[in-house]
Amino acid sequence: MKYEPGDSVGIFAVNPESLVEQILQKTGFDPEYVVTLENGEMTIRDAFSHHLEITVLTFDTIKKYYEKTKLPELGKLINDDKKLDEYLYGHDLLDILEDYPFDWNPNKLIEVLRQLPPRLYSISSSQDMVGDEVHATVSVVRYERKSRLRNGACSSHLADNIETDDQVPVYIEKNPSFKLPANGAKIIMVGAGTGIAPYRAFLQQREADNNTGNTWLFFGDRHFQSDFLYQVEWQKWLKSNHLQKMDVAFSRDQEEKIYVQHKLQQNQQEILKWLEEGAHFYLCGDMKKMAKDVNKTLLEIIKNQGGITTEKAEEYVKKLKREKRFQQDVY
Amino acid sequence: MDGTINWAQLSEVEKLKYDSNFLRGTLVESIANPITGALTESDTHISKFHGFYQQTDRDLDKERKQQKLEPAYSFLIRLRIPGGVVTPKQWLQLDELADTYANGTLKLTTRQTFQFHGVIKRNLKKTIAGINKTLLDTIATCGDVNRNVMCHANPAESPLYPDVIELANALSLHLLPQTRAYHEIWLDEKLVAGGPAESEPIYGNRYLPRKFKIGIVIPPANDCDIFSQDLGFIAIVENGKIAGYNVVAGGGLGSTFATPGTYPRTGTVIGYCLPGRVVEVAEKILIVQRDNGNRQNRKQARMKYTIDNMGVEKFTAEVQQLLSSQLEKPMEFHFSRTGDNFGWKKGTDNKWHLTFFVEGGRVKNDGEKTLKAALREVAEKTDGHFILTGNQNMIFAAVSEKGKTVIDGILKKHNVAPAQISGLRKNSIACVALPTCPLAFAEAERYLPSLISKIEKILEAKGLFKEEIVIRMTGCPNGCGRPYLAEIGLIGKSPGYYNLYLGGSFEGTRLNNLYRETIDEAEILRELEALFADFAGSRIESERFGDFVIRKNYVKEIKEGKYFRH
Repeated sequence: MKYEPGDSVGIFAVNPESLVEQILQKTGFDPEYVVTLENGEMTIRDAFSHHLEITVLTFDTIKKYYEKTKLPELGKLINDDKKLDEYLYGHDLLDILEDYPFDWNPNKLIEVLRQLPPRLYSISSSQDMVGDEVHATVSVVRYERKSRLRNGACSSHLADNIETDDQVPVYIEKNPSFKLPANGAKIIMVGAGTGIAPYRAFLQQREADNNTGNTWLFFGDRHFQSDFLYQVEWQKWLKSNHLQKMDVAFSRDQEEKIYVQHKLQQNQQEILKWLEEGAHFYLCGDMKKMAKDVNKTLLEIIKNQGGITTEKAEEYVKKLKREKRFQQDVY
Repeated sequence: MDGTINWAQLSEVEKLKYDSNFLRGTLVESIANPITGALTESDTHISKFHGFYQQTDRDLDKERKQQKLEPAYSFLIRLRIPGGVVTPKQWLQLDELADTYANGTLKLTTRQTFQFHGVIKRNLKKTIAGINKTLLDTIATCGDVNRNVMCHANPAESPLYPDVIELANALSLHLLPQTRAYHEIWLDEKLVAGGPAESEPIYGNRYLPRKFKIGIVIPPANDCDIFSQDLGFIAIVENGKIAGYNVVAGGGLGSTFATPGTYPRTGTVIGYCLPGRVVEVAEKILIVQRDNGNRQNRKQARMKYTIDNMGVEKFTAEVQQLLSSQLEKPMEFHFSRTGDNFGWKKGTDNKWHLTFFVEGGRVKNDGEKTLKAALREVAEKTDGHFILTGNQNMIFAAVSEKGKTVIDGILKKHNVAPAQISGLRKNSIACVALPTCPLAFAEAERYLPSLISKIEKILEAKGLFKEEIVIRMTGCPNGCGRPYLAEIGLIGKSPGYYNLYLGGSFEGTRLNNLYRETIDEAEILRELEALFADFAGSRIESERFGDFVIRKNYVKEIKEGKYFRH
């Protein structure tokens, strides 16, 4: 298996057993009933466990669910964008089965569901440092809704079922648009939460290449005490100067929320200076919450510090992107 | 002199102090660094002079290492409260600071002051500024300087109490470092450009070789363990007035396992002086230690070693030379106890004073026993004030007849009214130890209460439940809980294992001696059971346990610290 910093690892998920059992119970399906999927014949229990997406709902799933059931209440939901968006967030198959009851048979229901896709994680290691290993940074998705504990398909599987030395099917997903500059140029890395993962790979690579300086990391999470991912490693790299600068934003450690974009704002002048000196700008993490804000902040920095119009600043960003000096890995 | 310092020979801390620009170090930068909850290594030494120590939660060390997180760093902050006097308003403010920035508890220490535990770096400044707002501070409560000055605590026991508390304040103030570093860093005092160059007239720019502790007692109370202090003053009372003070020099308890040449030492009475000369005597003795103390090896740097190395006579002669007039011949004195006399007592001031037992000195709410809430309520309603004793206990001082009833009611309401406790528990001290003290090898504060409960069963069976016996436990041999002066001393060797020392005197005048090495709880209980059985059967009338074990030759008497062995 070969990979480079910036690539992702795909991990095949196994759905939470409790959710599978509850769905079987709710539908009244015989667990041993045999169905046929793209990958062949199997029991419906096996299909729910390994082959069908049940922990999250997609727009497509809900649409098909409606097509099969024609439930008027569901029709209303589909036509209300805002409510639909809300429903899509944090609900699973059991929710829709409970909220929009219908007399399903196994063959009909599997036509509604999509194949369980492998989960992609940005690799947090460099092969030049770790050899045959692949490191991933996984935050366990677990939350309670309607007094039921929800578990992420892959993350909870890794956390709950996989022990050291167990085997998990994986593959490498190349990501040519998230790569270290070949020439050891300056890099500015911005990441929140597990979005810090590829930068650990970057720093391992810089260390392996014995390439010091010219690196600046912005990291954000909730709490300094518990969420400073890979803290001791960044400290080590700061000491050895493989990491030249690091700024952190812990949003919940003080009354006012501080995020990475605020740290970018505080360093406007220096950031533009780095960009002018050819720095590559990387952004990794949550698309909805962080990426939007950082994009906006970067534009403002270029506009304000460069003393140029919004249009010119947009052009500047476009040029960065064209030159592959602004790369994003957001999800 | 500075030009000729041979740094290679000196301990690293000497250079750090010298380079610190009068205790500034790089504290401001250390505190601002957001990547770590720690200070730089050199700042951890400088921080002590400002009154705080860096620690980690050792219970979490292993887990956090696996999480690739640095240890859970936090800070112990120690206050400067000469003689331990605290107003109700100050109590309320400190209680609130404990909740806001520390771990929600207050620790009463063996030096009559408070410690906050668990303050994280980004809250240090707010906490220290908050303490200063109460008109207390944390200057020089750790580090190589004169620490919090102790004095006899109980106004009910001596009408001369006002004299000694005044003296404690005067000593503390006179020996306070003069640097403005503290005010700049924590209180945002601005540097005055072009002002006179900073200096430390008493300390010099390398301060002392090691910590320096001063205490004052009024016999027969020895509640400051006067022989444990680097410098002690024993009030000599004549015609109802303090005629003068005996001067005791060279006490100190810290020692290190497997390091010969380190030992606890009881102070030596070297002379007598009039009350008006105490501050001068203290300064000159401190200066002799400053100039003669060992600055190469910090384990040999306390004044007790300086005195033993020079010899008492030469040391005293050096002091005499600096004094405007000679020390006189020491006077007779007699001590009756080191512990506190619990309960309400009416003082000659006609006010009531309640000496109150606080187990392990820890003020917290624990289930139904809401001690912290109780003391808060007392602070809100009392017409008196508080005094912390040197035994981790406290006194509700100068209370009116009516106030006495109020306090009794509050304590009862919170289920912390003085209970019938054993003579052993009354005389117990435990240092903080695990999980926060980096020096601890074993538990102390978290463990001693339950161990005492087990020992009490034995005492009860032998009819000794009320017998007053001094027991002290520390997690390491550095001696914060003064274990070497206890009748029963337990010093942690490794988790669950302790050395057992016997033969200290109830009056705090004699060191104890090693009796059993590296034993666990079962063995501790077995050994004590055998000793108590013999004690109950063959003690000579009102003989103290510590004296008994020496008479019966369980341990040999240690006459001088240098003969002490671990």
